[in-house]
Amino acid sequence: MAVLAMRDALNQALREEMKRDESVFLLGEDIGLYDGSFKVTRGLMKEFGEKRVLDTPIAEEIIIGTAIGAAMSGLRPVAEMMTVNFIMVAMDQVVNAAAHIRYMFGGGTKVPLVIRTPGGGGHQLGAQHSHSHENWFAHVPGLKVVAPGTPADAKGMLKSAIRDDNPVMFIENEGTYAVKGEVPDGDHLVALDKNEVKRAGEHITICAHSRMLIVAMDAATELEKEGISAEVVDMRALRPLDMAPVIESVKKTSRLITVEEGWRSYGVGSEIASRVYEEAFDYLDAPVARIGAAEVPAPYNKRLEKIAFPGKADVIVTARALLGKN
Amino acid sequence: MASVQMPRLSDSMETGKILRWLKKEGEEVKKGEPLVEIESDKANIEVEAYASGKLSKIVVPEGESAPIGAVIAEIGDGTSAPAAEKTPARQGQADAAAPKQAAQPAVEPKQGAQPAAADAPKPQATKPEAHVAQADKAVAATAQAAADAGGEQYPHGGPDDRTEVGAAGQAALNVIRRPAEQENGERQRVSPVARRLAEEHGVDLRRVQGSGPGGRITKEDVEAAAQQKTQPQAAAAPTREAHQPTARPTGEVEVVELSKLQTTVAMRLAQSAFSAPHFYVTSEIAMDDAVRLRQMFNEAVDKAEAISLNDLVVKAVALALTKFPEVNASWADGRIERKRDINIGIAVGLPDRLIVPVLRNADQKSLKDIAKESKQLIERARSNKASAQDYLGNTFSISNLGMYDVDQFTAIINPPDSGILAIGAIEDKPVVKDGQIVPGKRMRVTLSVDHRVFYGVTAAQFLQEVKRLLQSPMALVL
Repeated sequence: MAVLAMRDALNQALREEMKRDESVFLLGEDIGLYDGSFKVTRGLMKEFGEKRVLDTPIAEEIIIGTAIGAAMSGLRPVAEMMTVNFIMVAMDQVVNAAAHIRYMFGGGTKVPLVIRTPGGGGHQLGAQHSHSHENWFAHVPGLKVVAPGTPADAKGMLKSAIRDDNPVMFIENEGTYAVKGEVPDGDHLVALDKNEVKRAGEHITICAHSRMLIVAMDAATELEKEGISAEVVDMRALRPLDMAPVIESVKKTSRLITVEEGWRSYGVGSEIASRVYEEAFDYLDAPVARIGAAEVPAPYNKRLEKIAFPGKADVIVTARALLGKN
Repeated sequence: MASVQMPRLSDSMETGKILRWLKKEGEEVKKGEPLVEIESDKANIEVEAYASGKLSKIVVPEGESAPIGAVIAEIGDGTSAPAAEKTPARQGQADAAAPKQAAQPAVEPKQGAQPAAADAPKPQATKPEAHVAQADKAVAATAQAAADAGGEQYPHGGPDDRTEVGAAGQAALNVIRRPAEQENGERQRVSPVARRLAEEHGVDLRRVQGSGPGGRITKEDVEAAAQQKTQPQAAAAPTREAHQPTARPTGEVEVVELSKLQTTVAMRLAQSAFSAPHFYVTSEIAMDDAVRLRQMFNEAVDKAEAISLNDLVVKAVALALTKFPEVNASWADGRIERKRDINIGIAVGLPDRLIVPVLRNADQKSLKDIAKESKQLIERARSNKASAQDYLGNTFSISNLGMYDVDQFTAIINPPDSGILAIGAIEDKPVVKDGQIVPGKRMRVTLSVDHRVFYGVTAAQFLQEVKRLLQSPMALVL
């Protein structure tokens, strides 16, 4: 067990899988010579050579298209999109091709593809570089979508994603690459379809994934000081969406907050809330509270940006309000 | 004193190199004047001063680099302007750290990015990778420092520095704090889990005070009520409201506006009381057999089909009315209208209003149907879902306060009826039977009569018939 930053845990997963399986290769913008925009692929070109770590042109549709072709031909590509905002030009490849091919060929071919890409904002990078779009992909049958929030899960889920025979959207976050945590050595695998309670509590349930998991955990720590015991459920598995731990938790706490970095409307929280209304309506003590980004393109202005993205204060105040303690 | 920090000049910039200071140490500088030329990863840019004053200290000399946010110079004018106000970055955390920054520029102990400044690489040779390597190192240093600072995700301040709720959280709060909708008769707010638990524990939600947002009854409220619950033996209970303590007026007089419904009720009752000459006839009825019959009946049917004593009274009154068309009648402008249909109004008292839903053709309905229908009627009335039809066509009414331990009372006739029967509680009392004193169950009923429509003898005979039916209740189930 070593303490690693998220970027190094991801790096370890890539290295281990590339060593284990020769068919695994990486492609993306600046991932080789430059070691990746966020240094996730650091040293891998040096170690595995230019055939297995491909620096591509700035052409997202071609990156994904190439990866799909390679996957259909028996390789296991891991494509990097510099940020999830840039994948828009490749949506046809992701949805119409990657997600549907296995179905349209009656299972005759498969697409074992991983697309790694970070979402998230808060760094004053403006509206075209700051959004979180995991819900767009989680809407599509044929894709798996995961968004880990700890280095251990990042490693374990990336390894599982690479071994999965389906296209997996592996959502990272620009704000978590430096976050450190204990990471099991060696063949540490985490299932792509299991969410889990990261912190046990009694009074209120908080669902969050990716960087918002950290925000939720911080908020829970603060709330504890006020005598509010919050249970935090990590929603790292977004599609298929594992609701079991949420339902179980809501049956205990009767109150739920969902937190996501993307917009509320049609968001991850909307889906979670619907499922809870379907499966645990009679256990609710209050409407499900959804926290997400303000419904505007992410502002560049620092002060505006600061209030546009969810922070722990939002979670804390919402928790108090749900419990009638405000 | 204001500190000048390394600005962010491009999205991808991590560090900037000082190419040239355009002012010397000790020179005066005006806000908006070019101060320093900086090389970012994309361009060389002249940066203006954000404050006026003397350039008291150059922290990062020409040719050296510093990460974004690091202090590169100090501008002082002798006064102590707070640094955070003047600098473009780090408003979030600067306040507390500002004096320290001024004292020991370039080393900001709490700032994530700072260690990189100390280790900032000297300008390197002209290898093409030089810039890349430098940026990389800065990223790594920033990451390292950020992690050391407890996983700080925004070295330069971000949403998590806020202590106030942001636009992000406000939307969720707006939903939670939305005030209760204004509805006629105030629908009670009950959370789903509270409703389910109330059913499980047999808690009457009308007796529970909500503690949640907007007065919503929550899980805890029901659990507390379930613990305190003492199930009172209600005699006949289609309507039983716990007394909700009303807040005492704070001023000398508190004015209570009437709802539309209350206004109508007030008008009609006044009209009835002051235009219909009332007289009253009281009788005591032995309810032993009726109570026993109800027990037997309820043991034989599903819980959902259980009947109340009130249902027995409704049926008895309806059957009696078939024999007394003169009672099932109205005063209509100097004439009397006798009605074919027998429709019984059942008075339901709610904390803020009185309503009288109408059970139609009660004489033709079985006890089971009367029980079922009156339950539905009362529930609809309570939850404000009743249609106008539910309140129309009464020919005779019943008002029951037995469950509130009232021995007897007189009711005001509910227009256009000419009679209303007021029901008291069933009491266990000693009665004389065959010369012996034995325990018996007795109920007092009082008939109010519109003297214009029928008279004392008819009233007494009608009451006798009701009494006969309730004392030989088998007739009610036939």
